[in-house]
Amino acid sequence: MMDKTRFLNLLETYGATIERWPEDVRVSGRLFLETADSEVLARLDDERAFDAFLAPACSATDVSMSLEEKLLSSAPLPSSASGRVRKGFSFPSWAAPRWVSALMVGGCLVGGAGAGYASTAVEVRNMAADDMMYFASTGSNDLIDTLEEEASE
Amino acid sequence: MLSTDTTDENLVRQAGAGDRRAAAALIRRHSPKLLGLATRMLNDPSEAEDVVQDTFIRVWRAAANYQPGAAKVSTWMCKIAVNLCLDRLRKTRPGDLDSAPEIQDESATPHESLEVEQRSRIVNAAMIKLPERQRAALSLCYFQELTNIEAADILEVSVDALESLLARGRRGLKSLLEDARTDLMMSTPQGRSAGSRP
Repeated sequence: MMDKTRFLNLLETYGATIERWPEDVRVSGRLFLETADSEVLARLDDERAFDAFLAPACSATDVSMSLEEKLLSSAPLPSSASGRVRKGFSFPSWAAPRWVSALMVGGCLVGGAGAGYASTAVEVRNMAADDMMYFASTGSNDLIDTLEEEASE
Repeated sequence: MLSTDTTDENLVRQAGAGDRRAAAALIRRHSPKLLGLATRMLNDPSEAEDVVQDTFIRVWRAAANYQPGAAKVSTWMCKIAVNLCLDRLRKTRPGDLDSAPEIQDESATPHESLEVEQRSRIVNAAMIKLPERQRAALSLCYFQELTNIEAADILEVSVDALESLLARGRRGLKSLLEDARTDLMMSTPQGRSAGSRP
């Protein structure tokens, strides 16, 4: 049953817009208002003015593009339907296999170049040692000094 | 194919299965309101964005096994966001009400759009001075336009307790904003003429 006390209580709780009141009291609230006294009407005006003051703060807040992108980047991927969720930066799904391949190829190239360089250095040192042995056997000390210097470099 | 009337429940299920377009639709549909809610609760845009991110991470985690229950998706998301806000407020709270921004009268600005923005800031600055549960109740019922039953469910209180929080919150907010409202009224031509009447 709607009476003055109940009406003023609802007014103070939910504000002047009866559409915002709980559904089960809207009709009785409107009916009560048709015969309301001046005190009720004055309180209604007061609450209506307050609602109007609050209204600008009711609008939804704009979401920046960067936040929207962050939210989307954390969404589940098709392959992770079981619920793996990523936070922060990660490679897109299509890019991951390419990255793995690129890393493997790069690793092979670096490894191959390193091994090649190492074997060349050993070969040069062996050749220099052979030359030294040869010139030592012929007694040419100048050439041995030169070759020693080259080998030490 | 997604249409604008695809239900939230379907969007959650599709997003959980890795449908990026469903995830994007869910984000566009709910992130503005969640950001508004978190901003009003925390009055810190950067923390509010973090809360929205954490809310969606929790939604995605649950999405793959989502079963529609009694609560609507929007209510479920609001509940996650409110709890995250309350957690943050409890961690940073001790005695920091004094450091809450002052409610300044910025109503004298001539441009209407600016005035709306400033009034919104004034209201948010006043909101942060309210006790956190009153703030949450007002944010949910008044600003998010949830029903009293949904808001009570989110705050895990009875409808009577929610109504008490709302009434006290509204009274508190009215008192905090009294000066700003009077100044604003006096700064408008209608307010000045009303104020100068005998």
